[in-house]
Amino acid sequence: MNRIGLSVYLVLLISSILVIVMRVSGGFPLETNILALLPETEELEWVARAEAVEQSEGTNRLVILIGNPDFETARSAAEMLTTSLVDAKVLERTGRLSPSAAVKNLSAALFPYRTGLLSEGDRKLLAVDKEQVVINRALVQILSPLSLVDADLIRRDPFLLLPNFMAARQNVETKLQSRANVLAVEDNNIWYVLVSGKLIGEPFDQVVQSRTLSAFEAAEERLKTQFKGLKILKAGAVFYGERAYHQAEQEASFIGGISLLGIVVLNFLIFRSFQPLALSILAIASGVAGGLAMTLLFFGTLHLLALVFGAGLIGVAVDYSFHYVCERFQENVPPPAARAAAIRSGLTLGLVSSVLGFLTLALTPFPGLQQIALFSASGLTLAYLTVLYVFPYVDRAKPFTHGGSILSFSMVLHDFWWQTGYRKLRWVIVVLVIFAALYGATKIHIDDDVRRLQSLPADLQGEEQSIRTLTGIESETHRFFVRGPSSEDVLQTEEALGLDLEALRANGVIRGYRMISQFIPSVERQQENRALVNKTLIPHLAEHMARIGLSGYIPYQHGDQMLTLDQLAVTDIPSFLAPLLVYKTPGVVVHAVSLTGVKDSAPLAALAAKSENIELVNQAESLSRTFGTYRLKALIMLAVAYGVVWVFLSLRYGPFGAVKAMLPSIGAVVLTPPLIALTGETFTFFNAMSLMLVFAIGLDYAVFNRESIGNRKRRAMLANGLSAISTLLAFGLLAMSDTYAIHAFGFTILVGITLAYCLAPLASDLNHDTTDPL
Amino acid sequence: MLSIGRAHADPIVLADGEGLQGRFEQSRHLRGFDKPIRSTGQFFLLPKSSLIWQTERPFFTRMVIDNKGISQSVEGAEVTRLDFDKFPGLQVMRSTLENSLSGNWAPLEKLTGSKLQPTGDKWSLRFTPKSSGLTLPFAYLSFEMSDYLEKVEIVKANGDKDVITFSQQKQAPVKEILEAAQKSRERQP
Repeated sequence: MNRIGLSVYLVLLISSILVIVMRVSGGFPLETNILALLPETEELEWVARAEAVEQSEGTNRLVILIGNPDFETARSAAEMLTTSLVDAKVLERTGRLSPSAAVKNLSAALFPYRTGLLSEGDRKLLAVDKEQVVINRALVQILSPLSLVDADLIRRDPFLLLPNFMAARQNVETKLQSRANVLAVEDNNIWYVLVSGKLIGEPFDQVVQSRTLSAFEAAEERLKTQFKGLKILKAGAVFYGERAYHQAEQEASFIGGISLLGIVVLNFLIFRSFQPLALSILAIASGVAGGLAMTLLFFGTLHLLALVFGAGLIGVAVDYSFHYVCERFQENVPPPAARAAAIRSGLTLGLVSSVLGFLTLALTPFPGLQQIALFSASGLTLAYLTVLYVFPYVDRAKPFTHGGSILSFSMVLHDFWWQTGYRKLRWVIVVLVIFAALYGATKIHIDDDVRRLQSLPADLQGEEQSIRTLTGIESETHRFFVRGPSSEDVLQTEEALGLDLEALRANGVIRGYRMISQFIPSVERQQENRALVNKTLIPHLAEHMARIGLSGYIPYQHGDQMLTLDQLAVTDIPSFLAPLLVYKTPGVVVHAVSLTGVKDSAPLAALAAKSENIELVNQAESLSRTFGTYRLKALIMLAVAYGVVWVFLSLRYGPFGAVKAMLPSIGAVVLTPPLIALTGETFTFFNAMSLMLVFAIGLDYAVFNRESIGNRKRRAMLANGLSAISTLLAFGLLAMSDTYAIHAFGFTILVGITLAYCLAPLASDLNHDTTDPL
Repeated sequence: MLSIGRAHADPIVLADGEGLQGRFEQSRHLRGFDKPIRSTGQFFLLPKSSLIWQTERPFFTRMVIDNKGISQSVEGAEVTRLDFDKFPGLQVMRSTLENSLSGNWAPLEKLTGSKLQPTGDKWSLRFTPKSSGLTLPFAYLSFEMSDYLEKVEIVKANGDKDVITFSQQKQAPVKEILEAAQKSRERQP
């Protein structure tokens, strides 16, 4: 049995190491984007897909402003920075056309179809036979000393239909102006030149992050030596990702250092030997290797939070190890194999309960939970095998001759719960805790706002805000997705939506909107427009031409051909429109409609509700909602996991006994949120996730208490106590983290594990000792 | 010693609180058109506030260029509006026109990178935007002035040309110019 156990362990460990080496050889695939923890989404498939396309477009963008009082200096520095970043394979030059050049390109592509292109205002005028206004406007524009129209245009479009169509569509979106082939803006006598492009690689890939930052910093340093007084502002998801990674790394080494030191000191104080620590490390390392390998095998990447949460199983692995080592605290110490056999029942029950619980969590369609569950379940299994089947082979230590007082001390908590002498004190403390929890329950403040959960560094946010203020590029909060079986259908839907949006704009609900059909109307709309032009304007053409001295060429001689979106080349679509063409597959076309200055989203939601082909999207709101949904789901699944574990434990303890064995874990999970609330902390998705560890570790402590009888009770209590202190040192200290998610995790563990340990003796059943080993 | 260069009187510079009014004749030479398109009318310059360009022939239109943009109206109703926010290039045109009409040549000399040149008993200045690093919809502007601005030629890259000649210029306090502008507005049909 022991040999088989050891062989299984070795095969699993070697396979795990091989999987890790293979996966990590190209760089550690650590994911730092919190959003990657979220499920594929519950939304409609087409909306989810559209969001995914947009998100990758958005997060891959890099925006840098180079400022200097002298425009030429700023321009040269911007050009040098661009070249450095392109050479370092960080930046891909996109949209080399300036917006004005792009509009010119589009105008040229639209020109042949100009009689089908009318602004809303012109359509209205022509529809009520006010064509004279359109004609007069053309005359005024032709006469103006600041006219932008030239002879060629007037000859071919004497009513100036296309220029007016285009002018009606130019919204104020940016303060940037074209100057000497770059986009620039002047503010407080400083010229800022824009460097913008697409990041090569994924912004949340650590390799990409470090390559981008080192290339950027090297270029920045060179520029600052070469040009005096340069001001450089940057924005992009890659910078946030890089900062988050480094912050996590720094905290991990600082907090990790303190906790490691604490654990070493604790081990030495209690065991007066380093061997127990070495055994614990072997169990933990095997566990982490197993967890890591399985996660990488099934998911390809490992999320930073899954690593942190998953590594929390160390709390359980260390518990297993301590139970083994504490077996040495007895007078006639049995040989290692017998000590392992003595704790097998408790370990097996603890493992199966935890694994069942985690597997239940893995049933949620939630990559974050699945990763944590898989990491924990596989890691714990390997830690279990290490303790039961490897420790007896490597354990050569002598029995402990000390420890009497430590063992007695570890029983204080047990005595508190079970000795009649403590009855009054017990009731006082229980009542106090219950009152505190009830009061705390009224203070629980749930917060799912993704913007707070992401906890972005203030300096980077400041730079981004400066860029927004300087360039006038707003952060867009809402947009519509419009779907249809063909481009023509989508354009028609947009046009109908446009009427409603125009009304909302007039009422000040939104400041503006942009949609493809504003530039490329549906064929149906073009036919209507052309009919209007033929009926109202063309009869005045000869008179109008005579008035401006134009003869010979007869303009507006066109066939019946209509402009379609599909016939436009990619280069004809300006960069401010391209992102609105979200995706197109046979049978499904999706466009976005961008909205600015949204004051109230309710009327927009009402518009979306009118058609199944229109969806209103608000990334921050929908993410917050998803976080909220999954906070709730995590809690529900936790309840389900308790149900599954209850069925399992009932087999050994009976239905009532199983409830009793689970009580410490349930108590800790239920009491933690209200007690945390007393400190003013909010309850988020991350707290809910952390309760799963409390669930597993709490079960473990309780099952060991339940399984240990006689003198072994003291050793079990000691092992639990040591395990609790180690877990608090390893994870409770994370409460000091500045990364919100990690802080929430640490704080929940701190309170939850303390409670789980304190409540664990409640699982003891002094009247029904379980003596049959498993 | 003879001084070369500014041999004759410098152009008049409007004092603070002064405006200018006068008449203009514009002929627009469009390539391939039978004849130039001519228009005549009055202008009213209220420095730092607005320039009112009132065409009376071939028909009555009024253009107001203020700090925000250009508004054109026919029969009292606005038919076009171009905001400087959307067309920043027009702002350069606006300040060029205002500075040249008010005799404020220093900023134009700075912008164009060249000095006023004496030509006969007049002055001239040429502005080529491309060589000044600006993207504007014309190839060059040339100004001719004596006491006041007398002639502007706006030449586009394709050969189209506008020639605007000014006459009957009169400087007066801004208030008077404004009143005159309002009166002339009331005369429109």
